[in-house]
Amino acid sequence: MTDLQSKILDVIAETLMIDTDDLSGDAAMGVVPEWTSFAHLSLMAAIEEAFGIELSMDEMSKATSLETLTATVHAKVG
Amino acid sequence: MDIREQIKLASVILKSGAAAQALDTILPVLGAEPQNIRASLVAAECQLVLGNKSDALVVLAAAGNAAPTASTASAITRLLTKRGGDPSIRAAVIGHGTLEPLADHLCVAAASVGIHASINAGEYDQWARELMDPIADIWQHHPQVVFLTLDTAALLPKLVDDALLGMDAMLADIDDAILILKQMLTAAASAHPGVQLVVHGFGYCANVMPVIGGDSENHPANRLAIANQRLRSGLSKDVPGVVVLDQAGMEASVGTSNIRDERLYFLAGIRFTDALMRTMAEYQASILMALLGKTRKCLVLDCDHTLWGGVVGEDGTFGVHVGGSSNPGNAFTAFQKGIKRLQSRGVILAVLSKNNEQDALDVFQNHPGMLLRQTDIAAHRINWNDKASNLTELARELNIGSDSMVFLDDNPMERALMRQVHPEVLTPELPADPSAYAAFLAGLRVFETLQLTGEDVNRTKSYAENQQRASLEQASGGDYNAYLHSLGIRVQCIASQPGSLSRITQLINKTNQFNATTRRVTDADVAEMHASPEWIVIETHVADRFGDSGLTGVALCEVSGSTLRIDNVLLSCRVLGRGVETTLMACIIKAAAQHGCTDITACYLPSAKNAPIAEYFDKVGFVVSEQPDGSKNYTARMDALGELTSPAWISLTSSW
Repeated sequence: MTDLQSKILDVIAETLMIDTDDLSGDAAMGVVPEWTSFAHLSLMAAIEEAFGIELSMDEMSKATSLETLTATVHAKVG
Repeated sequence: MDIREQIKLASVILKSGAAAQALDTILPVLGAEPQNIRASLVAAECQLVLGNKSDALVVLAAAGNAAPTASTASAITRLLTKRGGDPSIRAAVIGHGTLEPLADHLCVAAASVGIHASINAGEYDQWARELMDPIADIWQHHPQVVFLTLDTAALLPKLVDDALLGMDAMLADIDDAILILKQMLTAAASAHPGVQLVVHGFGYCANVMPVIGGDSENHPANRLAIANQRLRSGLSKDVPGVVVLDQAGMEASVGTSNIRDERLYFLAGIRFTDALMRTMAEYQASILMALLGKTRKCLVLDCDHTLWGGVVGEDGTFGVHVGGSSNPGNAFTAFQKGIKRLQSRGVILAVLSKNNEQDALDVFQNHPGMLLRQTDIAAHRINWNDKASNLTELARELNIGSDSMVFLDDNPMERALMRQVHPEVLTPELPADPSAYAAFLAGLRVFETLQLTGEDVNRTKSYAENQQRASLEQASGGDYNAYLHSLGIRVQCIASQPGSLSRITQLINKTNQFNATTRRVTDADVAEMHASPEWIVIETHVADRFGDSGLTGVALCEVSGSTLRIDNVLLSCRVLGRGVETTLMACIIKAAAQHGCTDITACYLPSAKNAPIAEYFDKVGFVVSEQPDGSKNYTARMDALGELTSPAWISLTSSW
């Protein structure tokens, strides 16, 4: 797991109020029970704040797994 | 151990069932990081498991303030649903768009004022069906209050989209929408009597550009104002009891460019930003407070550095800063203006200061910059005793519960002491800078009532009159009977009048001490009883030579067959102890006789504060049957009650 990915995991755990231990590499909306469509919006806001980036509506609606989210953030922070 | 590990540890201990030990583990974390949300949630969960709900609400409110986002609000709501037990009030939020985040924010705002509320969110855009369909989901949760938020663009399409509509077409568009709203709200009100309906008025529309230089009639702000004015007058006329909130005002207060996050709106139909939802939720929470009778009634004020700048004992009467147009006197003037505004809507003012009494009073009497004068102050304690015991005395003198008081003091030590001795008193953190006082006071929404009545406006006068009565009592040399005769008390006990109904509702909901059941009601309940032939609603007006206390007593009675059931009876504490209690009961008995009743029943439900009425029915000859839960059921044969008469010193006018 990369540094970026583990930082994203921290933000996910913090936002969804769960332990990082409960999250694995295949974490995604629907797979993690707390990651609901509502929680997803809060998560996007938290990601924006944590990394100082802004996500478009399209990016938000696609970044629904740890994998896609990491790719999106990676592209933004370079 | 790092903070994270410790939170985890506390969480594991809590899961094992040792809540007290878990709390001991988590409190140091919260001490080190008061704004840590996860630590707050664990601490609150411990408190809830231990049965300390009010402590839990304090922790959760602090967490909600530290991170005012939908996700924190949602976590807090989930915790309260899971561990909070029975809520003290249930509400529903319905309207256009996605409503869950608003419901969660309301849960937090309610916690901030000490209320555990269970909030049901309506379905996306389903408000019309929900209002009309009596078995829609929201009604299964038995809400006591329903909040409806409107989408101006959806309801007033022409007004929003047609730049040159003209006044007639605009009014027609508005009235069409209001007619629909009226029909739906009326249907809901009649299908769910007793439910308080609250409508958020029309808000600003996103992305509507005014025509620069266009005529003012077609300006969007003007259109919105007209729509809201017609909404208010239309609904209040035809849907009795409905409350309309100033949505446009709330939006203006967070900034009209901060009403919604366009991405969340287009992605998920969330129509408001967290900042706006929080403001809306605060308004909603103050309605919950009013419905639960938790509205604060009295503002207790310190003097030095609070009402004026400087210390009168050192700087002298004319050396303290208030009034004028320069700093800092102007800031204290603005604060006093805010205080006077509260007074004009019925908030009682009291002064609590450590000073030589004459020094401080001299400022009220003689300083040219003071807006507050001694006649504005219903009671004061200015001495060197500790403020906590002085406050107890003020509460006794004003005859109100200390839990209806708000204490404002610039000194953090005094605030801390007050919170410790009187946690029931609301002691907010006054801003350190006096220039922030006035804005702070304006945002302190704990004095809200659903309607303002004539009695509210005269309240300070009325408390001053009570003080005069007390001096007369002393002058009559302790002969209480002679004192009562000298008061010249006039009481009117009459059947409820249509114009009194909102005051009757307010009195039932605000009276705590002499209130047999403290069961709260809505305007709709009272209107229904007033109209029903089975119900006798008695309103009691009290006046004496010192003033008119107005409508200060109510009895709700239901006649079925030969029995009159006293559903509730109550008097404002301002008129207690002068025999009006007996007069009211005598009228109830007369009314029962006129309706051909042979029996009367009544009930006493104990609350934290209504001990003053605990023996009321026993004293006049009812037969008591004490229930295991502490309540008391009463029955009496009419002939056994005999001739209970109104006291000789009361001159009575009665419908019966």
